[in-house]
Amino acid sequence: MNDSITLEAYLRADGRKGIRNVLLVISTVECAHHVALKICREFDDRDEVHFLNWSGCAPNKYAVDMLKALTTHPNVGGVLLVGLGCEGMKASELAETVIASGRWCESLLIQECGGTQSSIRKGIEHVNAGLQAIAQSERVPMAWDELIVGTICGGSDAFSGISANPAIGRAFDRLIEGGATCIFEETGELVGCDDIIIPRAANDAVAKALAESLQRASVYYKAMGVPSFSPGNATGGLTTIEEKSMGAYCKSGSSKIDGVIAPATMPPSPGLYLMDVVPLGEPKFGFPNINDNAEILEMIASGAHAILFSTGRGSVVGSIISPVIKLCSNPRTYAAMEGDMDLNAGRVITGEASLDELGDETVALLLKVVQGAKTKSEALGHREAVLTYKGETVSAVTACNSF
Amino acid sequence: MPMPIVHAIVINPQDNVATLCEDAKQGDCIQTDAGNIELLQDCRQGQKIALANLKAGMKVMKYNSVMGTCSQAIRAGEWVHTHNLESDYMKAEGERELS
Repeated sequence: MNDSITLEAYLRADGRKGIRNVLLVISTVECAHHVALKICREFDDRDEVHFLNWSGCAPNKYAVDMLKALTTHPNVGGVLLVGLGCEGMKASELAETVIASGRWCESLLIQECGGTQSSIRKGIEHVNAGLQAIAQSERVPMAWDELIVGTICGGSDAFSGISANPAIGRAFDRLIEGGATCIFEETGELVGCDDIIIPRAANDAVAKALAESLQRASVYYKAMGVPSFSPGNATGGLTTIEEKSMGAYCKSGSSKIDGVIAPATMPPSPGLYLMDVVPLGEPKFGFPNINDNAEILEMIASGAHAILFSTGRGSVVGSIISPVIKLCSNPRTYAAMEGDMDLNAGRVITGEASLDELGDETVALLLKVVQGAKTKSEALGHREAVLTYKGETVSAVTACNSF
Repeated sequence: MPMPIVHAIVINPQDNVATLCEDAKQGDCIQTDAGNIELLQDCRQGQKIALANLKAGMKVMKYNSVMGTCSQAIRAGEWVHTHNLESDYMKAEGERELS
């Protein structure tokens, strides 16, 4: 699988290659949200203008790391930062990172720009200039070993762990065999999976890191008082967190696990990685992630070019920066919400397809998306994105640096 | 009149529950790779059915993995959910009413 997966990747000045050419508009505090959103709405008909709001005022290491990683993501060609002026999160510090990466970048502070109306006008001018600048991006071939894919399940039901999740696992196995990098996540949904996941570690250091991550998730969620389990999961036939976890676990496939990474940390080399979303130490700032969208954004911050999203109950979300491919586990949900679903994995339940066939279809679909085909959520304009405060996260433990 | 047949999936031969592929009615014949069983109550798709009589305190197995502990005795063909199965880790927030 050394062949190019696309001939038209976007080459960034830092050498990274993207499959989309996004101009990201970020409000660096809630007080700039309205102005930034108004700027974006002027470009509603342009697929490439995406919006992210950082609501907090004071900076937080996790949030700053996330913003730096997102603004220099390979799918991002340019960034407009919109701040109020007096907030703790400094647009200028973020701008330095973006400019150092060679990407187009402008920033404006509302207090220095004459208030709301003139800031909106100025922002629209900036975006127009930015769109012209990123349209000049060089297009180059891209290989499998330059591709990073993340996976998440949301709105899971009892079929998720029988159809869509193991289909993603099959796809992951094929992608890793071909040299790609794959990320799975949510240690809070690997409860009770210790005995099957730890033996898959590439070496003892990774095995220890996996064991610690699972243990910490268990402690953290007990402190939260509720597991990562929604009422809709129960309606869909899931009874316990260990049952949901076994289903979620299937997304990881059967390859060896090469490391544990934190959100906004890049996997150091191709292979399979667990993203540990649970912060270290005593619980701070609430749930590890308040919803699926926060978790999708973390995988994108770790470089994911695309996300494979499994749903049974029927999630409709997409994301900013990277396309989200929706696999529906439940044939009835698929029939009811076909307009939101990219693949009917429920055909495993009705006996119309095997998991191997679905794994192959998933890889084929991913390839089309890499080459520019829009996912359903992209075409519908879904660009959900959530960034919150979070405590310090795990240091990366990987197979390659432990020898 | 023969009872309608509804398929259910047994993920691993070691499992003691099956997952219903379709909504089913009390008395329906539930067909699985582990044999057929009569459904004891109406049940929606995706729900679990006990393949054998299970005593309180016994483990429910799916994916050849422990899904939790029976909080009461469960008969073969009976619905298994939050009313009779509890997590060994944490209780889940979810519906407890019968379907």
